[in-house]
Amino acid sequence: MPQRRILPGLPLSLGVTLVYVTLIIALPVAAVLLKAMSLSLGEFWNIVTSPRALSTYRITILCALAATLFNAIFGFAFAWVLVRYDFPGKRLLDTLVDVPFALPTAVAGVTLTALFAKNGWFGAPLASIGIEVAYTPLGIIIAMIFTSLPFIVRTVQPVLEELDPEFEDAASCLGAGDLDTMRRVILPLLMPALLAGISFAFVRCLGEFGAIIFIAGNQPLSTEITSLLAFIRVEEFDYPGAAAIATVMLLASLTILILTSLAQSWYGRHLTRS
Amino acid sequence: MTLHIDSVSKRFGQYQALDSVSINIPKGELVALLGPSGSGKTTLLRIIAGLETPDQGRVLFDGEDATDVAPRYRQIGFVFQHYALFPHLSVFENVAFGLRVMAREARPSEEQIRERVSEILKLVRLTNLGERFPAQLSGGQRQRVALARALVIRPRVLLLDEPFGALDVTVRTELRRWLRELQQELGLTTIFVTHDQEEASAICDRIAILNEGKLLQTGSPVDLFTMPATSFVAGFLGSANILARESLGAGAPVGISGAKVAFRPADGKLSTSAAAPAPGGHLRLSGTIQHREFLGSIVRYAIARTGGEVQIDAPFKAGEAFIAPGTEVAVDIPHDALISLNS
Repeated sequence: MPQRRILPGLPLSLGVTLVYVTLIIALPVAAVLLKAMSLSLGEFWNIVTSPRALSTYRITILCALAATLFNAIFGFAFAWVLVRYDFPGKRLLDTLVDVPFALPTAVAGVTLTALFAKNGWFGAPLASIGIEVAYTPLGIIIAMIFTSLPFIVRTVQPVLEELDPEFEDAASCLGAGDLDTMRRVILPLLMPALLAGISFAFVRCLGEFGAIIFIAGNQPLSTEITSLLAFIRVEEFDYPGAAAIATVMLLASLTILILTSLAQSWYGRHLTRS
Repeated sequence: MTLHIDSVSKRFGQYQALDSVSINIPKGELVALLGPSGSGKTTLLRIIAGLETPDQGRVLFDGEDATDVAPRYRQIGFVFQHYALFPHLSVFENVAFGLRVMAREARPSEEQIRERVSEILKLVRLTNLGERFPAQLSGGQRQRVALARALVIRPRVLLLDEPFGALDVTVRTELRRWLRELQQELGLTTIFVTHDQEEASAICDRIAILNEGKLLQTGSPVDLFTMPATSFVAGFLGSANILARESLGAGAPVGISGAKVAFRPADGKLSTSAAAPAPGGHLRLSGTIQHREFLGSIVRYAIARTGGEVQIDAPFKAGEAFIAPGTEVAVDIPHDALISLNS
């Protein structure tokens, strides 16, 4: 029996989707790759493994890992509070989560820099106990935390809403303590969503530019991030050099997204409900 | 284990879920908490398990106050209405869960866990399904996994919330019979919640009837059926004709004392010869046939009369004509089939 679908036929809807994906995503990506391919393999290798480039990878990845780890824990707690508790101002808090999505990242960068500069509201007390944030890797981490938080909250929240509290009741009747219930029941059930959120947040951190450059100080070899290096190469009209660095970032992000998708389907293989 | 529920009350906001409910449940009994939805029966079950805290009253296990004991220390088997099987764990691991989370000193070895889970899976007849995941099982199988998971911790009491509610009728009757046999074999004090009076009557030692948070009556299924105290119980456990005592007029027999009188539809005898006098020891009501339903082995007649409609079930005999609507009839009810009701 032919199934009726809301959207018109497969050829049309698939066609529209493919054209869109090609124009908006695939074409720019291909342009980057083509530009990078104008370099010889040796030149490419020299650019992407130059000490300055290697230092940007290190700083970007380490800061992104730290920011993502922080957000994995804090974002999970945030989603939990939003789903499981009722309190005045909950709707407002729920809306605030999306501010980093809505705010231009440069605005966020300037604001964070002002707050965390040595004479800023947060920066001054922190400086008095010897912690410098602005123009250090810590500043990069804070900017990354700010821009990537919604990814974790917004992926975990809907799955947590669907998670029946009866699972927790069942676990506690069977003698499980809070830790066992979290480790053996809740986390495994949320794992596909949490993994997706973590990888979106991490990839977002890797590519973040606007929020970071104001607070980072941008010292080559110490607080320069990869996307900034690519931007500097563009400013120097070294398009192949910029494309080579962009290619590295692109491959890193794609690899992470693909691995996440595999891990998700592995985790989710038994979770289908009938 | 014997269980005492001592004047337990629970309120959710404006809604009084339980109002001073007390029940004693002796060791090894199968008791049904029977009532319509919203009667508080599930709340009572969750209070026994410790998943809800009563506002007032106590829960005692073997005479010991357990009101403030956390669910994980109560050692109670709970089978949830929709089973709440862990979807990411295999059947084996679902059942093993209660053993794996035991405190280290008490936790059995991997080999003992294997042995105990296999034993329980055999008991619930799921021996070969240990590697399956909940999503790959039928409703009846899931129900038995939920039961196995609850039994593996050697519970002191087994609690079941609408255990057969989500199953087909055929699976349901088979499973409830099997559950009764298993419960007797294990000698396990068991409480189950249901809104299905047939289910409760079929397998329980005792039934506790709840309505609007109040415990109306407890007793064996036969006692509740033959001696309901109120019109709610009479109407909930099987069908009943309930009449105000005044409406019987001079025909009311002397033995009847309550405000209302009930009789079962099967106890009334229909006759079309209204002119003949009522046989001795019978109450006669007269009226007109209003409506007729053929239900297989019986024919149910609705009879309109001043003072309220009554229903009469007449046995169906092949070849016998139905009484046509509009016919004047007499209904004779033996005095000993009349039940006095307080309200």
